[in-house]
Amino acid sequence: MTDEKYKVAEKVRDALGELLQGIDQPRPNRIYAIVHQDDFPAAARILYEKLGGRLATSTALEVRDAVELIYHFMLEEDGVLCNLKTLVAKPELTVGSVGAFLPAADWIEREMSEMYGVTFEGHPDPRHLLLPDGWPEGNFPYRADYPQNPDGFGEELPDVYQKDKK
Amino acid sequence: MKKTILPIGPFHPLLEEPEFFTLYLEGETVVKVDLRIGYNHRGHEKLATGLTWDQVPFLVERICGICSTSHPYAYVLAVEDLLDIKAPPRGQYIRSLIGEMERIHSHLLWLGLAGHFIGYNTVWMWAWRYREEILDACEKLTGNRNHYAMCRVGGARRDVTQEAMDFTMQSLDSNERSTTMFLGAIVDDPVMHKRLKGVGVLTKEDAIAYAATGPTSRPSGVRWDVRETDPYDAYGASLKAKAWDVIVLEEGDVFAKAAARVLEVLESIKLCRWLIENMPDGEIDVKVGNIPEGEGCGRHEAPRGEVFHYVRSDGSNKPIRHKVRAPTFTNLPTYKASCPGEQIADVALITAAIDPCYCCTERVGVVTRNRRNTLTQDDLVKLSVEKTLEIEKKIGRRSNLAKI
Repeated sequence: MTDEKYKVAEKVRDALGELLQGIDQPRPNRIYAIVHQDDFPAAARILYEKLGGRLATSTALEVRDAVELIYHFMLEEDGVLCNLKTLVAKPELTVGSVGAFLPAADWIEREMSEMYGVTFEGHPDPRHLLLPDGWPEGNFPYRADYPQNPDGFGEELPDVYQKDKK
Repeated sequence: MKKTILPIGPFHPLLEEPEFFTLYLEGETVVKVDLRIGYNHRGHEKLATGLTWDQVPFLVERICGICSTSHPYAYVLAVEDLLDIKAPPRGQYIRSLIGEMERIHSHLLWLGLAGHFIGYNTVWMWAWRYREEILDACEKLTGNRNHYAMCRVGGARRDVTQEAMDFTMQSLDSNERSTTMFLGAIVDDPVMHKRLKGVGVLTKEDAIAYAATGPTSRPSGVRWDVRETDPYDAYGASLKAKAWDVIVLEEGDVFAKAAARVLEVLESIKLCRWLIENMPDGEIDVKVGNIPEGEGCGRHEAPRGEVFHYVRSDGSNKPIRHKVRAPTFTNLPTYKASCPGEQIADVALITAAIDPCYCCTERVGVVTRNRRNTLTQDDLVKLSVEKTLEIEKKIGRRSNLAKI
């Protein structure tokens, strides 16, 4: 059983081919694959369409001069979780959208774009998901430089609320 | 035909997961659904990065009040994945037992609410009464009816006594009898068939595209169950012993979703019995030292579907990133596929069928050109009950519904 799971990395390597920059399988049921940000949507499409991966969710996290994106694809038939990673460089923070062809990525990409300021090119519905529509631009709550208790931040409520007050 | 826009929402302060729906209607038929969430965003992911590894389970236990063990379970699995350790067998069995007890009481809660929605208040009261037995057993096992705090990194937090397990066995026996009776009541009831069959169908293709999980995807013929595909703790051993089976149905409608949940309760009862009978002796946890640099993913099959946690460590005493994904996050967008083509009277039912929270139906504003009137939750339930009554009349069957 375990040996079979270790073969899945080969399968992922063959499927991704030249797109792949690195692959690691620290535990039999976890694979971490790294691709360049330009190849990211193409690699995600291969995992979804060719390997039948189910997009469990995606994680964004801030590293020094980039935002790291991890798309957690579950290869249900093999019982292996394949984490597709890429680094999106600051300050452009722009990457092709996976939500354009995979409905499961729709909401999570909206969340990552409002929380981390990543722009997903070609996203079908790039509205706010968790934050209100009138949220001030350039404020990304999950970024490290976002003030935890900003003095007087509540005073500058988004426009929608200002209207309600009147 | 004129299009009407029907906003439902945004939220009920008593329940979690407030949602806002915009239904686009032609006559009484829904043609498009738009959803907004975020009314109760509490920033758990950011909060977790300010807590130590041992404090996070207490925080994530507060994410959900019904399936409260799911999130700490997934979190400790994620940290154990990072550390590459496994809990001792007794610790694993205790955690899995609590997870399954939770599935039983969560499904019974849903069943009761679903009964209330179609106007069968008897179903509602029975289901919640039978749920009490399970909650009592949970209290005996863990000390709490809910929020058990039984998960810690490296094993279980507390041991369970033989006396509590004997009590649980009795509760399971009596619950199995009542759930079997329930199953008969649903499967044989012609009104239930007429009311729920073919309503809000989620096709297999849509379930896969939207990556729906748990009892939302399995009734659509998608065999995805973390307990089976990526077994953790005691689930691998119980599957080998054929102690239970994954419930997969084909129809994908509300009836299938209801039936799947009742069948899952029966499977969970079997599994709980197996876990108690085979409960190993020994330590319940292992000592965990410093958390090294690295990353880990934890997945647990909660009552509503897969709960996913991701943690990243930089070697300090706090996680630098903690990602939480609850099953409703992937199950909610399936309305976009399952609602169009249905009637308003069925929408309350379809939105209830994935087992989110019912908050959204509390307050509905019907906007008709310049006039504006408001439907409350009671009105929506009434609409749904009236449809059930009509069906009863058609098939010449009388119940006590008219009295309500």
